[in-house]
Amino acid sequence: MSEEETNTNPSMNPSTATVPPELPPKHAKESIHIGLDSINIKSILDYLLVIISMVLSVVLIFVVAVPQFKKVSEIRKESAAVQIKLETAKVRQSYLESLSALKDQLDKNILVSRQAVPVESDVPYFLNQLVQMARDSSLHINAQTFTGVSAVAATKVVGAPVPDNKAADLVIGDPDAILGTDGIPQAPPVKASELVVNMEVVGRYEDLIKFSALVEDTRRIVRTKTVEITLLEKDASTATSEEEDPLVTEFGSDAILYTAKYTFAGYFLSEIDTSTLGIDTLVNKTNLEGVVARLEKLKYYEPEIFNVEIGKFNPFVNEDAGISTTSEPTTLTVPVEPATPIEPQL
Amino acid sequence: MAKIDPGVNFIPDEVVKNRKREYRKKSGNKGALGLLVLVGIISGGIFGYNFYINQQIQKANNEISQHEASISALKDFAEKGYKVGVRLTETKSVLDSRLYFSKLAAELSKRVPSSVTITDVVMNETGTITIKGMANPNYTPVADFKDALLADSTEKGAIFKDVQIKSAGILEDGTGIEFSMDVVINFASLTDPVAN
Repeated sequence: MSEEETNTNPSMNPSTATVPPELPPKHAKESIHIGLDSINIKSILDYLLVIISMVLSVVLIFVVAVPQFKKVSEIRKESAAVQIKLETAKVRQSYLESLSALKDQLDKNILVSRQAVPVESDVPYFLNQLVQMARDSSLHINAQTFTGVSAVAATKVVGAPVPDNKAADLVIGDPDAILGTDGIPQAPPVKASELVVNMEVVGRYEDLIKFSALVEDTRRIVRTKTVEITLLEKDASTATSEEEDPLVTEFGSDAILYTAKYTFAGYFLSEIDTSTLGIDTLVNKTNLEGVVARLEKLKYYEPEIFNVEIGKFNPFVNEDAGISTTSEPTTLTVPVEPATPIEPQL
Repeated sequence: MAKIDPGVNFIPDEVVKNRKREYRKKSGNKGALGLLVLVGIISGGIFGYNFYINQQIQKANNEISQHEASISALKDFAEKGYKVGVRLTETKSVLDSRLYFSKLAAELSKRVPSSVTITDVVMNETGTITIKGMANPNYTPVADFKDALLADSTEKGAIFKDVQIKSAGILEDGTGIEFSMDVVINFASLTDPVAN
């Protein structure tokens, strides 16, 4: 076939071919519509996996990833806080177990601390202790006056952040602990009270020094507030003989004597109410290592025991009041019988 | 002579389009699946991490509960320890702040010249002691006394820091002189227990 023939063949050249007009078939419009729908569905189906994946990705991001990511820092903080709390609890438990294991030592420390600063004022014992020390120092006591109780400055007890886990330290509660620990309740201020006693003694200078040293070395803590030492001048008109002057009898006529006026302060601290304190406060402690050992080296004066008979017919008459000293502890006795009639003397 | 047109593509356009479409579709699917997997891994990782941390927190809380139960059982000891601690703290504050007058009196007696007689000494917690006395035959022993008190005043731990003569005069009977002086003491050196 030649090129011309080829070109003139209407069937081979659509542009030139005469296409008889064809009427649209019946329901043609409908057929076209169905075809378009088929194409859309197909296209959608082709990209369905992509669409589902994208949707799922978006859902995962917004439902899981973002909220969980926001929680991460929060949870890490919580975790850190819980770990600290756990460590604190472990240390506290360990500390308390060490306390319970050393129960006897704790009881001993309680005893020693109460001997230093008693729970009760124990004024008679305090006065008697000073008298005992003056006697031990060969001093003559001119006067002793208890002037009263006064409160000393309140000491604030606060918690320290981390308790020290040393079994030897059996003390807690630190007034000087560093402030600023969040969440640890503060204990109420603790007040010790002061017992003020004035005392006038006479003796040699070296005996006065000895007396001061004994006062400083006693386990019941005493603070010497003032001392006034004055040379005792002998008055020839009054000191006539040994029989009349007890100081001459006691120290001899040649002794150089001094009068010393002391003001002493003893202390007592009422039992602390711990019922309102939380465990955080209770287990916070300071290192008071050495205080107990220091106190144990100080001399403890046992209270002198007196045999006292209770009851007398006339309380205004000193009829040999039935008081006698004894070296052995005895119990109080009540000799007055309830049925004994009390008749006033006419 | 017949020529072949190089621009003529004998592969039907539809086939080419289909291939391209298939390629895009596969690439899209791969990419979307990859993204989904990546997002899933990240989300799962974060979720798993949080879950793990939560488990740790729960475990720690359980341990804390156990410890707190033990602590409550031992609370009596805590109270005892607290009380003794407060009492010892009070004791320590007194022990560390009080003056040891025996040490002061002993030091004073070591520095008094033989020709000086102390007649009156007032010691208190103000940091100054007042001394009155007599000396003979003249003022020289008083000066010696002052020098003796201040002999080691520049040394660390010295007890006497300064001496001020307040008054001095001849006794009425002419046997000597009487004097009074204020002695400033080093407070810190007297808060240690005396070494007897």
